[in-house]
Amino acid sequence: MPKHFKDPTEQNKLRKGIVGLGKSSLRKSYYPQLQKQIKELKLAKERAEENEKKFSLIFNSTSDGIILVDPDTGAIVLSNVTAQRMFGYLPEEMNQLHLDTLVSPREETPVMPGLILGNSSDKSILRGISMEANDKRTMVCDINASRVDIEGKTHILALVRDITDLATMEKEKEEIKAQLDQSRKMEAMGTLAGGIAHDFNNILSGIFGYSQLAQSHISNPEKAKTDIDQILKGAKKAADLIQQVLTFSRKSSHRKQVLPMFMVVGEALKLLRSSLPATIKIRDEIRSKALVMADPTNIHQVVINLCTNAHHAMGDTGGTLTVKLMEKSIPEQDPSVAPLSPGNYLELMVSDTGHGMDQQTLDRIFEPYFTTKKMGRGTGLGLALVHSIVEDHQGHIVTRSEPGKGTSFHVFIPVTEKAGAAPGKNPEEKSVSKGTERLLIVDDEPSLTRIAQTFFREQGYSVATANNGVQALERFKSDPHEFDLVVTDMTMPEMTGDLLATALLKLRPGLPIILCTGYSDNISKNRARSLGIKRYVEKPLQMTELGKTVRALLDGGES
Amino acid sequence: MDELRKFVAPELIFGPGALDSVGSYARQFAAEKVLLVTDEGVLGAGWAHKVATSLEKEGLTTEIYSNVSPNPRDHEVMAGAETFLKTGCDLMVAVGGGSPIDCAKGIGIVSSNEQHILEFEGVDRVSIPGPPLICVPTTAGSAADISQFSIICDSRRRIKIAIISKSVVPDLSLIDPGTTTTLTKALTAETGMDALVHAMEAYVSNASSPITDINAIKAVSLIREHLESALNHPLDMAHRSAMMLASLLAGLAFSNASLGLVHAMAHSLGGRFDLSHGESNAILLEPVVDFNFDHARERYGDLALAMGLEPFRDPQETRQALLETLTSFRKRVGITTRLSGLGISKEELPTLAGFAMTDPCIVTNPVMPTKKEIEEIYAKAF
Ligand SMILES: [Fe+2]
Repeated sequence: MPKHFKDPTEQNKLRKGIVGLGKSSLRKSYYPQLQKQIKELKLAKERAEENEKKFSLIFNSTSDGIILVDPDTGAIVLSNVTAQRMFGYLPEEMNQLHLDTLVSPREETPVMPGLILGNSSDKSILRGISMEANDKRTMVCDINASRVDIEGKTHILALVRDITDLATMEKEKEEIKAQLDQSRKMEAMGTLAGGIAHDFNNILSGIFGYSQLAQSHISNPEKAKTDIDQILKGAKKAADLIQQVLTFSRKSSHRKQVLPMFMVVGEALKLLRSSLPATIKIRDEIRSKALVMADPTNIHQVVINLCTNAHHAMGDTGGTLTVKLMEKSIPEQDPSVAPLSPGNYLELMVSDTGHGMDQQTLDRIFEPYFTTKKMGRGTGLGLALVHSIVEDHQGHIVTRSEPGKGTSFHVFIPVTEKAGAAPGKNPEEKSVSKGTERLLIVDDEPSLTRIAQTFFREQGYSVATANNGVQALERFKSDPHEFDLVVTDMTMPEMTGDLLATALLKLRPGLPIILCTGYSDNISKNRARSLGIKRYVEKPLQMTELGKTVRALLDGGES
Repeated sequence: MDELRKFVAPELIFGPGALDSVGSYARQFAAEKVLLVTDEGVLGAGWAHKVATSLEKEGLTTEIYSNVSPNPRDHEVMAGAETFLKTGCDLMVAVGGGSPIDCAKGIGIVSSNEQHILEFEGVDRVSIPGPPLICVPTTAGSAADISQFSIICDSRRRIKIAIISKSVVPDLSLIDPGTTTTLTKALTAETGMDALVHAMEAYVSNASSPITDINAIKAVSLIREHLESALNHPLDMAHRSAMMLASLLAGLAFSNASLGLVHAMAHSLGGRFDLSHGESNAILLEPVVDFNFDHARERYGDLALAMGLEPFRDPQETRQALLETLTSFRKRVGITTRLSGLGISKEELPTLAGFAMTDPCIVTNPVMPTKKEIEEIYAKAF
């Protein structure tokens, strides 16, 4: 083949192309397949464009602003029209910004770290973030972030919702509510003050009246004494009222302790039996001895007040007062006891067969001085006090009532899992209350004498018990020197504590006696002293306190 | 034979009445609508209508595109492609000489690639083949129905560009010698001389091969024997058939071996002055043979034998005899014009030579001429 070709480069290349195999070209026989492929590609392209259009329409018409952020730099990669309008930037401006530039300098929450999500979660929410637009206008926004992988890189997709209006509305609502609460409080205060004034006026009228009578009877000591007794009674009433007002106003009880509630209830019932008229039949069912974290004085007050209320509801015609104590387990979200969180509760139920209440009354019974009773019958603070105490104990009251059929109050107090601070387990307490002396413990409640017996035995004492005054006196008579000290309850059937003490002291003068008095026992410290009783402790008993008192008395301390 | 060679050619149907089978062939392509590319001359001769009738007989509809000049322009190609796409055609049938066929090739690749025709200039630049193309040649010379070349005028630069790709080789060529009976004497002579130059340039091409050689040599002898007779007895089918066969063989040769300096210089001329391609070739053939001879003496010796000369011992005697034979042959077929007679001034020669230097045909010439040498060759044709 002739090859006279001189210039090898360009020409040779071209020649090679012409005579070469033409591998870059295709024969026409490929036309149909190619046409088909081209048509499909075109169709796919059109579809992709259509999808893109649809997507972009949706993307830009959301009510939330959408911002795609690079998690490493915080740079905005993509944003929708809503976000651009929200912040007042052009699309190309927006996509050159850093997310932090949209956050108000006054915002304290670090936004980027808040959005960079841990491995465990693909979503995060930042609420109430203060953000700033191009024109320095600030807005309150919620940011919902989720992690998305785009083209092999992780991005943060932030949905920004302007809740400025919502937040303002919320704030206004709260202000209105606060104002309402305030006026309601003022109203309640007014009612309270009025009620107290009314009660005091009644008491004072009595005191004035009897004082004038005493003046006129001054020459007749018998008559004058009766008048003065009435004056004292009035003063006592006033003191009680003050005590109740104080309890009501000083809600936080500083004496909460692990408390066997059944004992307090039993104590209260004992008192009620002696004070309620015979027409009222008392049924009690103490089914649980669970412990609660509570102030004994407060719980005592609750029982007394509820029972007194029941008494008033039934009136002097009488009926049945039922007091039950039982454990109740509240499962997940029980709507009938709505505000209580699930757990174990001790339920105190006090029900009567009285006149009952309609819904309108029920709604207001816990308001101070809201009372349906005739003025002078109750103080008007009773149920309000119950409500306040129960709330203070993380408890709840459910009231059920039907006019004509009666009312039942269900008080729920959380059961404490803690076993009671076992008496004497504390080494310090042990040292102050230990002893080997012989004690006689008298109480009509056997569970109480049992507890005391166990406690003092553990401290080293030898302990005998009696469940009524007569029995104790019999035992004491047989050997007046068998015991070094006597602890006795005040309220007991047949023979009360003060009578027992008097009898014992007659048999053995100087015998150290401790008198345990209930909340409303009508015996003063001075009267106890005058009887020769060395110490007097308030029920419900706290064993460690009692232990200290016993020890001190035996060691010859006087109070 | 130190390189791999390909040989491309369409499916060929050769013989009287080949045209009539166009309808049934088109149907085999599962086509429904045909763009019939032709020109006014062929329309006037009735061949295009004959083709359309055959197509319609087979249930195909036709869209005729005849806005094609003798040297097809780029914008004619673009307009044709638009028509093709707009009317939803799926097949093309080109009826005519080199111009409609080259135009149809261009329309095909433009419509499938959606690119401008000038972007395909050069070798192997077509990525997607065009739609199927059936050719019905009506001249015995251009062999555009065979070749992998498409020559289009760049109307802005006023040059002819060459698109060389096997993508433009037609699918089917229905070569019916009967169609040449209506050619004018001048056109018969000019196209016949084009075929002769195709054969001679392919034979001396530095890319020739045994397969192209055999076709080239046979074409030369057929033209020597039958061109004059075809001119003198235009309705004699024996001569017409021989010339049609000569054109086919020359086409097979040059499509695969490429051409040389005559075509490079003729394309330059044609692009600038819109001259007849065959006539330009005929005028330039002798000076180019004279220039090339010493670089391909043996090859020209073979061609001299094919032109009916006795072998000489001295190559220079061969050169002299071959040149004289070519001159007298040209004159006998009636081409006596010189470049001066075509209204070309000598001042144009450097420009023409410059464009000839860039024509792809030049790279297969047995020798690479300088620009000055090309100017001198043009000058000899004055
Ligand atoms: Fe040609």
